[in-house]
Amino acid sequence: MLNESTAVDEQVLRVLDGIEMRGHINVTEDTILDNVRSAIRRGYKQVQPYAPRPERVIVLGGGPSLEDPAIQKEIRNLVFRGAKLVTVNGTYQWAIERNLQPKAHLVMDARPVNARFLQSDAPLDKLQTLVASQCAPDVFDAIDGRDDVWLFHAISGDEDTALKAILDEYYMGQWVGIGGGTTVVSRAVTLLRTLGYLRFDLFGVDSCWMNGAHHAYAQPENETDRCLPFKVHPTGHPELARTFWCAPWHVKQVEDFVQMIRVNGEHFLLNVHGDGLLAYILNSGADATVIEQAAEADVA
Amino acid sequence: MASIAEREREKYDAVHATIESYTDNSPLEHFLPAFLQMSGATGGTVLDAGTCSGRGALALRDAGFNVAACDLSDGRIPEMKASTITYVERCLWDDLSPVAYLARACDVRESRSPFSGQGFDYVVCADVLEHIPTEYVPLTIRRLLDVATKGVFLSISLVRDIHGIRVGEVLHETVETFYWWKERIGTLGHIVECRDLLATALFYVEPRK
Repeated sequence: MLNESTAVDEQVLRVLDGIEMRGHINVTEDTILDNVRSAIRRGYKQVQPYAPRPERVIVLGGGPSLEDPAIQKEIRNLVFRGAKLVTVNGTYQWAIERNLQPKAHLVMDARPVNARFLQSDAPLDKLQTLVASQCAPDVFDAIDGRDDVWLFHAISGDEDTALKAILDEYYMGQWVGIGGGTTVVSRAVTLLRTLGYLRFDLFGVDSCWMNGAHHAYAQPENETDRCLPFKVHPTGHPELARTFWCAPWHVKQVEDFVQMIRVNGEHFLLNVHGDGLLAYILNSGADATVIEQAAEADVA
Repeated sequence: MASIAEREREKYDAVHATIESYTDNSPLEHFLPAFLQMSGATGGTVLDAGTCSGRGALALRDAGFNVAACDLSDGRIPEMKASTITYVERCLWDDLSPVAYLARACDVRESRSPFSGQGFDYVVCADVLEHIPTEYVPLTIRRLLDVATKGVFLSISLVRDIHGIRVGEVLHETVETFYWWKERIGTLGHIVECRDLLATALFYVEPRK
């Protein structure tokens, strides 16, 4: 199932053609382990699997398409029809500024700078805060006193790592790992599916530059990202090719999503809104898409 | 008309008479490492409140603690009955100081007894609070804290019971969330540490001075 590693044919996982992705996480492994040791001792409830729930969920990524008035209208219509709005990182503030009240906010990045995403003047009594145990102590300091905080562990259940050993010892084996991709949005889908949600509408998950922007709001950490052209077309249909400008992490995010859909696609419904790379791939058939880029890409 | 406590006693007498396997597993035995870790305790006097089979009390004794035990209904295994551990039949929402008194008065070591007669260093209460009628939960927690000088260790099941159906009763009368318990316990004592183990919540609580 979703959070367990199962043997999967390599061909199923092959998304990128002619690209070698080499990357490193943005903090050291020791920092992550220290963060986890600190976070689990703060006495928060853990995320655990729940029975399926019928509500539609909007996951709000921070991609540039959020600035499109038509996209904003779609979001508003879905919220008014009862969809649960889930924000990640900076999209919480983006939503509040547009008079949209998120039901849940999710943060996963281990860097202390992410504490800024948790600062809010808006009422928090109806907000569920979902925080990865790998987040820095500054992040937890920023949410101190909130009522509805849930802790999740960004790890596949059967990985044999130092992190697993820490969690096993502290929780006496009673914890659930949340698998998924490298970015907060791809992990959010797995997390929310674990909580029982089945039907997702993704907005602002473009996985590419649009109109010269990488986010719909200022995100200084990404200002130095490399911007590379990627040609994408369904297998055997080069006439349908489109070129998108992407940072390596955009492409990695696309790979994560496509792999997740190929392996676990029967467990959820995914509708990606907008005209970005991820939407194009899903609309043209995720199982038959090849991404090509001649250059070698570094994933930050 | 039977009181709530008498009614509860009858229920658990029936459980012990009907379900042989009920005393096979001991939550306290299972959570003993967590108690040691969270409290930092290496010895001292302990009350096992809601001892049931007494397996947990025996494990505490084997770990070097001086143990007394109490419960509303006697489900002790023969090894516990044969031990020198003082056992008192007592409802947990009643004043527990008589248990502390009896622990000293009945101690075969007499004047060398480690029990003060006033209270215990630690109180452990493993998978018991969920059996308490919800209206009595705060009072029960208060009673446990009242007889602990250092701290109270609680393990609380967060899920429905599987045995009650065999006696036509609901055994877990208070099935609530981790945060529900945390709020109530935090009102009555100082939570030093708490852990959400998904189906069970663990708390180590110090009495407020």
